[in-house]
Amino acid sequence: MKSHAEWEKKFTDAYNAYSDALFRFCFFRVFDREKAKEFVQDTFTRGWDYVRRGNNIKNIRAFLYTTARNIIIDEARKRNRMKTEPIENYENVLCENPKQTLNAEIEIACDELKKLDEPYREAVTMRFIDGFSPKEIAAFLGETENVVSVRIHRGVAKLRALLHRTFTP
Amino acid sequence: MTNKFTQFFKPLHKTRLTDAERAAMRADFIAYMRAHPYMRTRAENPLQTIAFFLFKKPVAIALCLSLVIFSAGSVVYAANDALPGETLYTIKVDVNEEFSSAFLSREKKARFEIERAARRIQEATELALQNRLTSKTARMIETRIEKHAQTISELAANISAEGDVKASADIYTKFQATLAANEEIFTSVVEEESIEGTQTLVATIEMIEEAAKSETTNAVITLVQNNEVQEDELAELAEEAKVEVEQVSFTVEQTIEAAPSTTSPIARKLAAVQTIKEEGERRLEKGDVKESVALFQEAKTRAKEAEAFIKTSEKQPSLAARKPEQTAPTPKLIENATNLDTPAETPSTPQKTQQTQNTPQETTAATPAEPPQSTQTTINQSRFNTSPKIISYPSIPIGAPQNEIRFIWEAFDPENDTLQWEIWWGDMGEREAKAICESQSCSRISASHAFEDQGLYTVRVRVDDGKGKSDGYSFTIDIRATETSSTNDEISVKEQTSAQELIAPSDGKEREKITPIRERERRR
Repeated sequence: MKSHAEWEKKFTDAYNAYSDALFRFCFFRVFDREKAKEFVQDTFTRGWDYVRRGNNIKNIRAFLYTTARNIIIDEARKRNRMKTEPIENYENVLCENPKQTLNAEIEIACDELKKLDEPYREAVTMRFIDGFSPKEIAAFLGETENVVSVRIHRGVAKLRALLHRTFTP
Repeated sequence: MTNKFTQFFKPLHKTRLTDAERAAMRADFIAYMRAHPYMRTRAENPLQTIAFFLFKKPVAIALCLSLVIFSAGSVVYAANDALPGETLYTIKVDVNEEFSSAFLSREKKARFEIERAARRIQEATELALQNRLTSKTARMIETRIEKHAQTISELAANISAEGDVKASADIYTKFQATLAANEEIFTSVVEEESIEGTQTLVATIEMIEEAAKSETTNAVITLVQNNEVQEDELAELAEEAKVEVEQVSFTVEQTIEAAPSTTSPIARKLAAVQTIKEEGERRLEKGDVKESVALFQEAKTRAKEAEAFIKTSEKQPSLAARKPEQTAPTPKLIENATNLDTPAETPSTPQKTQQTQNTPQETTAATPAEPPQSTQTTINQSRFNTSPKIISYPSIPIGAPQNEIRFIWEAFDPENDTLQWEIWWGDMGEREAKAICESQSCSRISASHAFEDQGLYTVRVRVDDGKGKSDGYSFTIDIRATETSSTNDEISVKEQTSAQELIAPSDGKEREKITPIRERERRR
């Protein structure tokens, strides 16, 4: 059983290690820097509250990513509650009205990624931007490793096709 | 294309928080953590606890096992102080003690059984002090003591059969001393008539004690009547016993010096030990090695009795509060003590009572009548009186029918009381035995008897000091028609022959060896 100081140290270390990665994770789903920062902060706060309720966290990295993903889904639900659009397209919902002007390269990437179907986009983003292994993505999404590998493969193929189309004169 | 694909993701990896943003956000988070400190524990959440047992099986099993072992250990520890009638008593007797004795060698097991028998009497004493001794618990304790005695008898017989007669004798000596000391303490705190079953318990303890005493005597007889044992070896044995007496006496003396006010009965016991030891030394110097062996053996038993008395008193501190009563007995105790003057009525000599009833005319005591004594004097003498000890055992001859055989016995009494002798020849046809005192206090007698028919006769001898203390033993004599034996032989310790050889039956049949304990059980 850990004490307050031990848990605080664990969370501070996690903050130093994963805050940038979590920020990217959130940013490439909402394409809003301030919103991503807010989600990151919310992720850590929820994690701390979870521990305070007497729960234990075995793998803090996986826990933080899952929390961040749930926060994004919750936010999308809030925005979408008046619409009938399925929640699986939450990233499209969140990307609809970015509040700030993005870097040109990133804006292009956002546009290209938006063109991918949701399952492929999520798999490709987690594999190539967040740096998860197929096994970790499978555990994260609750799918088999095989399914995830297929999604990555198809997503990459589709993205290549899109990029070819975009950059070919 | 691959290059383009790589370049597509390359700028995305550079997306991160600025240092200022990260520092500010981290500071905010740390402030949040401190504003909402961690306090809860997992144990407070019952669902978490259930989940722990469901998913952390090895840890949970280890935890449960530890809990079970700890609980069992606690129960076992708590059971050590349990008394008869309490819930944990069965665990104490049938689990703790049985487990303790399971891995012991034969001799150690016998000694542990002695300790167990002593514990049973101590438990009875403790219950009596708490006014919780009922007839039911007394009967239960009696049964257990008998069981322990039976085990000791079997173990000692096995040890003896293996050739270690000395160890066997030592076990009986210790058993006799332990029983005597514990019984003395028990009878000092309990009024025998007050509880139904107490008399039976005391009688049982005394009978077992008598049996143990007989076994000790038998061991001494086996030693002194064995022709293969040379006199110098016997002298060596006597010296060994003497050294042991001195060692035990030294321990007892130290206790007396440490607490002289509370140990006056022990001091008197020790004084008796010294007297017997000095007599043994005198006999040894005189050349009566066999008598000295018997005397040192007796001194050893009595010294061990004093030692056991001290140990028991230490174990039961509650007795300390009752000790003043020992020096100032209640009227009930006075009455009991007075009865000790009439040995036939006292429970301390049940065997004698039985024998007297069976053969009322068999004995004669050629001793002067005891002078009348006051009640108080009787109490003091009987309470601190020491029993006489037969020290010379005539060898057992093979006699012929109609031929008179003469025996000489000698006993030693530390108080130099005038002794009364009783002899049962085991021959129902002959009811008259002539015993002639050959010394001033009748410590040495001679008796003659002629057996009419051939056969095996069990001769019993008992010596009484007239104050309720006695000693005795029995032996089997073989009367054969065909055997040539000298008539009017004077059989004394000076002319001993092998007992084993002499008591062998003439028809070649093996006679079952009946130990006193087995004999007692047979009678019961």
